[in-house]
Amino acid sequence: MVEHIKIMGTRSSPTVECNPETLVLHLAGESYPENTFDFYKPIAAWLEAVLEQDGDDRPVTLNVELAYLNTGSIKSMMDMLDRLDEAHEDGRVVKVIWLCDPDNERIIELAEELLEDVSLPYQIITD
Amino acid sequence: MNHDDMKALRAIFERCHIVISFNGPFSQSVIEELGEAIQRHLESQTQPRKRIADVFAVYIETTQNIRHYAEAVGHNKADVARLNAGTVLIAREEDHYTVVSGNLVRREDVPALTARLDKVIALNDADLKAAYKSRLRAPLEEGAIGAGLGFLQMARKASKPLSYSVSDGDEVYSFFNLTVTI
Repeated sequence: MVEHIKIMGTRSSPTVECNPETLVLHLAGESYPENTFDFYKPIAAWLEAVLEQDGDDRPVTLNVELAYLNTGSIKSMMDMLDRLDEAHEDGRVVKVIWLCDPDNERIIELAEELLEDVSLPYQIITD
Repeated sequence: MNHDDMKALRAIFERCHIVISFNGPFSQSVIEELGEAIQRHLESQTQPRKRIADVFAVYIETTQNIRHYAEAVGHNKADVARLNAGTVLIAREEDHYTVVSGNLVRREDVPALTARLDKVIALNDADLKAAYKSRLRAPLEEGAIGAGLGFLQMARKASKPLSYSVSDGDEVYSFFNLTVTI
């Protein structure tokens, strides 16, 4: 059984929930933690474990509500999107929903820029 | 510090239109506090949200770069402490804001650092985007602390080419100064 991850957000790190019941990975808040790659390592590992689980073909959802990402977080996000995209190409049902504050143009641009290079289904919601 | 020093310092602040400054060791909490002060200040100046976001992003990349560098190359506690201390200023220049940083780098690292920056400075917008995207997809080196995207990100946010200088410090360190105009 894949673990249930819950991390409380801080001023510089996001609130995280990785739910093994619903297979929803939810990230919200600000993302510029001190050791960004260390922060995202268990989250990426969770995603990997979910996608590798034998006999499980339930849909996987990445739900993003981040307002700011430093470049380390952007890199970590790109890696997770690529991993999801690979699963999508292998036939797994995956989707990405990125909820943006409509007044935060920079985050909308970032979401578009990261998602334009993947073929998985996604929604950028700005309302 | 005597009264004349204070007066001289204030004169520099006025002349350079420095609105926020910090000098000392960077920690994550200093970076967060100062970042918040920068955002509040720009909001009080009714700057557009895009510009506030860009100044903040450049400030975060600059300061986290300094911390990552100190952590990656520092030989011992004293060395890490010297590399991890720096100066960061936000200045207003007519219609623009500049994020100016100054920190020590090991002399032997200077050629690689300036070569990387020169490469970034030479790129036009389209090439910057392409270089950024290719770096975003490149596998991380083992033990990497940063994504190697900081300078590219700063250049993409900047309204003028990045500008830097390196001056001699002592036999171990040089002083590195980076200015990003947004």
